[in-house]
Amino acid sequence: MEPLITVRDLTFRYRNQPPVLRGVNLTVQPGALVLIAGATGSGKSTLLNCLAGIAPTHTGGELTGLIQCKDIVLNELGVRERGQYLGVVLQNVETQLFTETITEELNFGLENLNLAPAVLVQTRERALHELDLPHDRLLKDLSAGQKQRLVLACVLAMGQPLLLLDEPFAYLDPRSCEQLLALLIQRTQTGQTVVVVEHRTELVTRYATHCYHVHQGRLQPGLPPPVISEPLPSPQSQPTLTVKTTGLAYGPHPPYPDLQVSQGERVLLQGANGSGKTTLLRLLSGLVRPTQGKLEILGQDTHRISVAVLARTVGLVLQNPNHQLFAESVQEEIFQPGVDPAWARTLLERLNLPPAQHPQALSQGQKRRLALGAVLARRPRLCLLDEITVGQDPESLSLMLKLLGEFTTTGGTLMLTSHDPQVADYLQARVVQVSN
Amino acid sequence: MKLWAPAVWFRQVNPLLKMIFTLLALALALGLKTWTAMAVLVGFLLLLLLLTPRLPWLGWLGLGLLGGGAVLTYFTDSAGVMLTILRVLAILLPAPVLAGTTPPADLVRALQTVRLPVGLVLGVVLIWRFLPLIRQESERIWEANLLRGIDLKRHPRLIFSGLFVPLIFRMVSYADEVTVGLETRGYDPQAPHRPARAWRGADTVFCALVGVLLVSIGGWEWSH
Repeated sequence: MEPLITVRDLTFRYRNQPPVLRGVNLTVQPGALVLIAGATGSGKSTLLNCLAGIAPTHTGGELTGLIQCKDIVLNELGVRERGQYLGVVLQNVETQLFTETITEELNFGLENLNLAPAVLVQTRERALHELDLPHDRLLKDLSAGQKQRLVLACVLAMGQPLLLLDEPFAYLDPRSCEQLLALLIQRTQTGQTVVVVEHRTELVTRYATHCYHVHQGRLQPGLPPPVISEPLPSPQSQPTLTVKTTGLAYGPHPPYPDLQVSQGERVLLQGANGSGKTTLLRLLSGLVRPTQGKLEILGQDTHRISVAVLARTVGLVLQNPNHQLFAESVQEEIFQPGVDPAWARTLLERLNLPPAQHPQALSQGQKRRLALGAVLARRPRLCLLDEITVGQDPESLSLMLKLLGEFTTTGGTLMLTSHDPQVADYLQARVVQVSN
Repeated sequence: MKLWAPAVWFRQVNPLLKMIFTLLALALALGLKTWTAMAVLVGFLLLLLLLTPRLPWLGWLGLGLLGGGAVLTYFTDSAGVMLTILRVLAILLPAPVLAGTTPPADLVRALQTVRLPVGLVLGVVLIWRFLPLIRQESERIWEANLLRGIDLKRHPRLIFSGLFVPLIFRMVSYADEVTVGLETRGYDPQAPHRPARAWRGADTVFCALVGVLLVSIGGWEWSH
């Protein structure tokens, strides 16, 4: 059978940098489901960007080698021209959304195909149904997982022969993961080809026709060796209550379940996309005020405490680390005024962060580790983490989780959201279901 | 978000008609000489603004300014003050009315229908995407400062390093990312888009209203 995609001797380097990819060869048959794994910053996304035409056109750099779709050489085509052969879902889905509502967003892509109105409506409705999306929601009200489902729906609706998906499961809840997997398998059975870059390899491995990993710039067959981490011992919670909520609610939604979290405890908030996990963390940090109910942190009613004052004891790492990085270098980000320098150095080492680099030049995974380091540096009593395990390879994840384990054994309280089942297993966390 | 029925109606009016009306309103704002004719125009714009989701406050602000102008006119006995206030409002109000009632996709479609230059259409798309993004990003960065214990309201000297620097970083990187995002979604400003939308009842009603407005303005302007 004629391969759909042929990559020969592909080498790519960013300006004045050593090659990120060296001599990559890849042949993908129609109907294949290809998984590409590898450490954070190993070049997986760069490979996808080269196939999509984003690199070097938009990133700069130098690309050599051949990329071919059937008998068409893609090297000379831009991103838009390649769009007739391949659909792309980027890591940061926010950058692929342009309108105000779900329906308009789906229309936006389909109109670019110049479909007849009746076909457009039919295709749109099918895509909404396949990804279980409502019609009339405003994009600004969607959670990260819902936005990810929307972009997937938009791209899948276009029906190109090849789909390039960069961490498509990152923010999806388990049900949505299963739904997407089933959909991708169905698509491969109809002849579409799917290339997935993913850290959560356990999700895709069982269905993938081929698995590769990028190591030292080379594409190698099979998955990287597993990083085996022994689960942490169960946390020794202490009688002091760190968090106590009573009838806490925000907006028109029903109240959250009442919470009592003791000092030293690890609590994992789980729930479907859009169930209100992020809002609960924002309530606990004081960023938003409850419309009903009572919240006590370390025995104090937070009703009249400002966020800035609450921040002395409560640290929150946001879903998007870009908003939390202010300094000129990684080192400066951790060595904040009042932070013990020895502790700051320890954090830099433990989180495997390059001290001299500019924070905005780091990969998304490294940025999340840095944002965590910047919060832990201030030694909060309660640490709230919103989906910070996204984009972490097993080794980096293990570094973070070990550090968080130590944080709780030294009296800190941890509350986090994550759809990664490894996190719950490793942290031996108490799971609280959120279904707002 | 549920919209009030007249607001839904106004969103359905063809963006091209709204653009033509915006230009017409600007021309009238610069050309009218009597304050009564200008008041009719501003009154109509304020009415439209009150139908604009998220912007009724601007309508109330306009009404407040008008009230202030009326008081000043009463005490100074000079119609010139009123005319100036009305002229400023007539120049300022049409743009938010157009922006607040036109979904981005409809605007792009309308611009492509009239075959405006590619660069202009692309520019409008990006600006339309950028304005809410700047607001959203500023809010998030402000919150991130609070989470570090820094209340920028109390430490205005930190606004540059704490807000503007990260915001500029975000915007520069977003400019690149959004351009890539547009291309990955297959957006091609040169490609023939969906055929021009059909004439709707909302368009007829809007044209009729504008017609009545023009006749009223003409009547006031030339009879005085």
